[in-house]
Amino acid sequence: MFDKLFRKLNYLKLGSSPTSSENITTQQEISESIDAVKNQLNATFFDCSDFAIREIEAGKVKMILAFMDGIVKQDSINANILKPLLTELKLTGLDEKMDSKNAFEILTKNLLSESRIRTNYDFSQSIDAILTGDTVLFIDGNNKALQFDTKGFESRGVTEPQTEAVVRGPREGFTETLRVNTALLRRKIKTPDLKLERIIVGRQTQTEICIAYIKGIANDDVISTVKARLEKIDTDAILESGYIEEFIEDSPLSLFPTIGNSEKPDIVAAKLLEGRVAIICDGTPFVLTVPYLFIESIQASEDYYSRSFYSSFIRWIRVLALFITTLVPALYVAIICFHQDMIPSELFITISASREGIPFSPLVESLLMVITFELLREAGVRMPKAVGDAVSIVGALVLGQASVEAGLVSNLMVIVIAITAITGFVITPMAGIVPIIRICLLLSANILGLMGIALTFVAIYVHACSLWSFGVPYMAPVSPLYGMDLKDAFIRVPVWAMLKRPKALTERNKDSSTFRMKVDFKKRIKNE
Amino acid sequence: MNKKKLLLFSTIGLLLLALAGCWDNTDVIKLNMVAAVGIDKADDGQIELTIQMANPAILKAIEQGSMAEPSWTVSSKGYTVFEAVRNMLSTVDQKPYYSHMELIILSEEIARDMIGDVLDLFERDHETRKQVTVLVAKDISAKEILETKCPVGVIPAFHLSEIINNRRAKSTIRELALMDLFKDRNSAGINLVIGTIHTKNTHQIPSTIDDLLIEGGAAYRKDKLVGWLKPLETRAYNFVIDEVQGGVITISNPLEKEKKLSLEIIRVKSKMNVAIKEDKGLLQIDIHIDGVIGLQEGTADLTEEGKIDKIKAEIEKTIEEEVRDIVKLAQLEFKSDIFGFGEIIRRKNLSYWKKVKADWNSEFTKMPLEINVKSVVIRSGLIKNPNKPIR
Repeated sequence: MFDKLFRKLNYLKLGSSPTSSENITTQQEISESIDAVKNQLNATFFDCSDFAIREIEAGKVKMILAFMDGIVKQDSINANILKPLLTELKLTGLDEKMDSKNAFEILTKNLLSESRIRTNYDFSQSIDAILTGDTVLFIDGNNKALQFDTKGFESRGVTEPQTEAVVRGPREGFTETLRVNTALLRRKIKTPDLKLERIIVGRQTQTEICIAYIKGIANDDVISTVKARLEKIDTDAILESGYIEEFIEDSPLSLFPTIGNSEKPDIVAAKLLEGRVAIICDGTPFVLTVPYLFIESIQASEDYYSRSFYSSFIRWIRVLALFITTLVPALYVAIICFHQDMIPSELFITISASREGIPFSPLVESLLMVITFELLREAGVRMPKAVGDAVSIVGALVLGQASVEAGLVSNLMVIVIAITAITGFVITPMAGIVPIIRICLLLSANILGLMGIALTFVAIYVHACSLWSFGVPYMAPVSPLYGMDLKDAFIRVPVWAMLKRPKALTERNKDSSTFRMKVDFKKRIKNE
Repeated sequence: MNKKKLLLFSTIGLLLLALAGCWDNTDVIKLNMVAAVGIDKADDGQIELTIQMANPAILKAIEQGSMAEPSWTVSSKGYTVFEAVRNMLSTVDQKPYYSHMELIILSEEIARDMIGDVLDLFERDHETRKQVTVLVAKDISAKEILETKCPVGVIPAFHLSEIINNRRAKSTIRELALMDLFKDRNSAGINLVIGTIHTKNTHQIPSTIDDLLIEGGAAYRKDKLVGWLKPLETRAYNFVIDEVQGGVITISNPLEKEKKLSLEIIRVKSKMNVAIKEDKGLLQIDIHIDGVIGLQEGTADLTEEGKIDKIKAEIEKTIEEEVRDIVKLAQLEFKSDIFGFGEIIRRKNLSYWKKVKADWNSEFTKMPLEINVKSVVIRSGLIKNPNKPIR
């Protein structure tokens, strides 16, 4: 079983020899006889109760209007297709002139008021169109069909995203509809250089995916890599951008995320303008951005909207929070188990006083509390909002008072876990990996004390330095050092002082006609 | 290739385990924090070790309103200090933990000639911090000192070590850390002076910590205790070795008869030197003192010209006398270079040092002395003229 999985992993990484049979797009001509088309349609959509078919006779010509009920704009069909065909045709007197041969001409040029019309020669293509919410008009005697863009379904409006709240800054967030999302981006970046390339992924779901980038700013190699990796995806379903993320990331087995995501158009627009590539997936408000660097986890959109002094200060606070939230439980264990001589005498007495009568060793105590906290957090996310209060009361009592009063954990431990929890919420992009690192450090602290913490930390750092995200070193601009990029790392210089785009993403060769990577990325891809 | 890598990494991992040095953890509640150690000589010739330990239950006890003791004191005996340390485990439940020790108190008997023998353990053992202060108990046993209680509910040893920190404002206290003690003991050009602790009333055993005084010093020649320094002599000693950080000097007021004047020391910079000419050494001590007039008895107007100069001259005279006395005491009575002039010679003139090294302490007694004191009165406090009834 593992063999199979690793082969799959290698395939994702190296892309050599696609084992599955690709591209079986069966070309199927549209029958000229309208009855044959009707039978074909009914056979295809057998037992699909939402499929609607409407037979009309415009003048002397028989036609069939086919669409999926519920995902089309009824009003648009009624007003722009049916009304012209059934009433206006007679009023204008065109019905006399029209026969099955010139029907196509007359309908598209003189009659139908729908704005986006396409001509279809392929039956299976028409089926796909119907499934995505388009309306298809088959005309007797023609081996082609008219396709109208009548997509329209219930969707959530543009609302403020729950995950990325801001005090200052735009409050709109992406929705589940791809077109709305691209519109939100287009409204912010009004240049034809903003390209939105379309690609369909997922055998069953046929999910529409949009690759957004700004031509001339984004690195061509990155764009082509994204496209190549997306095309390699062979799966049944893409229901959320997380599916895509797992398929295309550089190091699928690493703890660190090498693909970012955001729910806010302003953030994605800023990243596009920095030279990144966005992957917008239909059906989810989460838009992926690549390349994703570690430094982005301590950046927030609000940094750029408030003044630079405060933003820089807050960045340091975030770095501090990252260290605190991963290290504090481990330091607690290391200090009270190994390095009792390092702390001031008064603190020694306080610690031993608070631990007096606690039956568990510091490690068990810490693990107990760390896991309890994670349970509470998870419960808080999963449960219905109505019972939220109950959990928070139980959590506060269990975590805080009761466990201390019962003598199960020391009150110092409660403080440690409280600090850990609060600082853990500061770095939300890292929320997925921090608990794991925290427990790793905790265990190593129990084995080797501070030495163990240092070793584990170095190991994690070395690993992070070895990662790549679409040709860019994950720890850039710190390691390797891109001097000018530090303007937007641990301090954020004022916007007027940001003279150049991030070098790590948009570095060009000397003649500035082609892009350059820190390593020769093209060669790397080829070697893969 | 992969096998080789695996081997390499497992070797590195194993080495790291060995390098770590701190194998296996101990919970803090499995340790008894020792605050101070006292070493006495028991009547039967054994070493008696007394340790004062913190009582971690005190914080909870105070919370609940009971008046528990913040510390407890236990003694044990053994033929060596190390044996006594281990014998302690027949009395104490958890292992005593010496890292947070604030004081080592040696009784007079031990301090007289066994100082190296008893302190060896504390130098050799990894657990002891080398910054711990060493004191000699004068006219009282170390055990009696450690058994005194602190009326304000603090661990007595912490109280005592805070007193030692008061030397910033009181220059009669001599502080010698264990580390410096070993350093001084290892060099031929300097002899030890260890701070002393004694009772206010020598005729009775003190019950509380406020019966104790930390001031003065015990002077050594090599490993022998040869005499005691009184508080003022300790201050003069501190002047010579540039250890005065503050304090008060009282002089007779040169402006009015039978009145006194107290000067607060702001900063002192002193320099010891040995000038060598034709194989004869001359001890030189330069002292520069900045002070503020803290109190003046009498009603002299300090704004008048020349008055400050008179005060300055008096200060210089007083300090010079004190310093001359302490150097004479060391030369004539102790016959011991407690200041470290020998160290200075060794650093400045090695060939001369090699000549006098063998019998340095007696060589030291023969050397003439030159003292140079300069004082500056920075200001006279908040007022220029003292208040006085209008005539």
